[in-house]
Amino acid sequence: MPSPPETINERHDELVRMLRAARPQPSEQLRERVQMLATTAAPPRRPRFELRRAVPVLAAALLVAAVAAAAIGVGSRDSRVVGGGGEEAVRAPAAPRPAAEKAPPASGSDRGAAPDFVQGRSRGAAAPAPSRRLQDYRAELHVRVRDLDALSSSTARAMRATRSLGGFVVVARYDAPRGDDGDSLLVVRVPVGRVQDAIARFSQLGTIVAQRIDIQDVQQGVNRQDEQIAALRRTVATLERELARTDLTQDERARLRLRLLSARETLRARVAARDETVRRARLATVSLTLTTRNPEELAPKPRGELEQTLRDAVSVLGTILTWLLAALIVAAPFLALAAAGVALERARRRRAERRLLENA
Amino acid sequence: MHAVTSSIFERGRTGAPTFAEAAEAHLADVHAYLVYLTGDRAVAEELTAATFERALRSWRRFDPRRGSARTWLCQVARSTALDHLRGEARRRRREDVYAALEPREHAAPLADDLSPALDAALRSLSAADREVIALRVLLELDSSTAARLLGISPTACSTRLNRALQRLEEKMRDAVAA
Repeated sequence: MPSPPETINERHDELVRMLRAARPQPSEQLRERVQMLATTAAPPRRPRFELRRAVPVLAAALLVAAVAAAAIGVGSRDSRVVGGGGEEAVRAPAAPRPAAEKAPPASGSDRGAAPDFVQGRSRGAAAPAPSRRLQDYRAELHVRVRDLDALSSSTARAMRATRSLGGFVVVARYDAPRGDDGDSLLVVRVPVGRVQDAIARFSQLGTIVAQRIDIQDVQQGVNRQDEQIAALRRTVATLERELARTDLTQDERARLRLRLLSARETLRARVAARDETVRRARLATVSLTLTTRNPEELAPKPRGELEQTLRDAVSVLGTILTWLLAALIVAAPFLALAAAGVALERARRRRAERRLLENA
Repeated sequence: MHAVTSSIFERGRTGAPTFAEAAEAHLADVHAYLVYLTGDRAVAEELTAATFERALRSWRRFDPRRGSARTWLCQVARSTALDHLRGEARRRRREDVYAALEPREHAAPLADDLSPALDAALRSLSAADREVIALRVLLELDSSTAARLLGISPTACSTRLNRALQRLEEKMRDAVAA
């Protein structure tokens, strides 16, 4: 359907009428030729790519990808629970487990055992037994007691228990500002061989609502320090032998003395550091929190699967959008250059066409 | 009207015309446009046939939502004509001396019913002028459609049309006076 003609200057009406009256007509041969052409089957029109239609499809694809990624995330979380990792401990009530299962690996100076966080209502706490290797042993216990009276007496009992086990109190804080609720915090150090007894006694003060055990193997570090100390001792001995010679010049003797002094100083520092590490490894740090509050107020409520899935989906979507934005920022200058190139090429082609038609 | 196989005239499911429908409906428009653009009826006949061959090959790319079949066919025709004119320009450059000396054959009038003065005046215009006259006067396209086809703004299109018609009138007066 032709578009409605727009007004052409009235001055040219006569000319326009003459031109329209003498419109060129195609010859019969041309008509037949085109009709012959039209009888051949025209190829079907190809559907065109349209951004308007593509956007909802892309959005849906992104959503599906995010949900899939979240589902994979849920799957992997579940597998961690099955595998007995930290999250299992968070959800399951504390249950005694064989000490060997929880013991740190025999080697490795990094955190040997994954932090263990136990939350439950059982009265017994399962603390991994310290091995014969040197370890940095830290435990954290949250114990709920009945009331403020129990809080006070339990705090005192915990301090007595610490001393009876050969340990000492590093921090003691008692806080019962008003009402029926109160807390007390004790940070104690006990010999590492008695830490299981300490945890067992602390757990009897009330109901364990949370427990966290963190063990770092320091044996390798101490072994390295021992090797360095031995090497330094050999160096000192060698230097002392050298200095005992009588054929040394004054300069040589002075240099050897300096080296000997430096080696002895280093040896002293290394020995002190090693002793400090060993001393620390002989004592375990136990942080005991006694409280009258409900466990729900203390521990974060575990998230439901749906909430977690939604959080994962939002997180994945956020990541995707971040990447898309980053890609856009990186590509923007190139896109702008490409657009400018296309525009220039189009303008050049138009100019060439105009010249061609004006000269034809 | 010539008989054409009925199936060719079946309308597509989208409501868009079939190629046969478009060819039948717009053959005269495309031809008239090409006659004015090239200034040569014989060449225009060839280019019209070539346009529809090219259009048939590209028919799957025609999208009725982006413009009418007539406009699309005119775009194909323009592209075909520009290719032809470029080839002619190259040929003339190659055969510069010969072309300059070559006696121009007396061409047939652009249209049978065209007065000799108007025919001569039209031939003396540039192809660009004749093109805008063809689109706006003969095919009666509105200025925005014609502008889009020419790759210029509607204002520039109107200006170009007025100037072309002005020149045509002047040439006509000169021809009559002579």
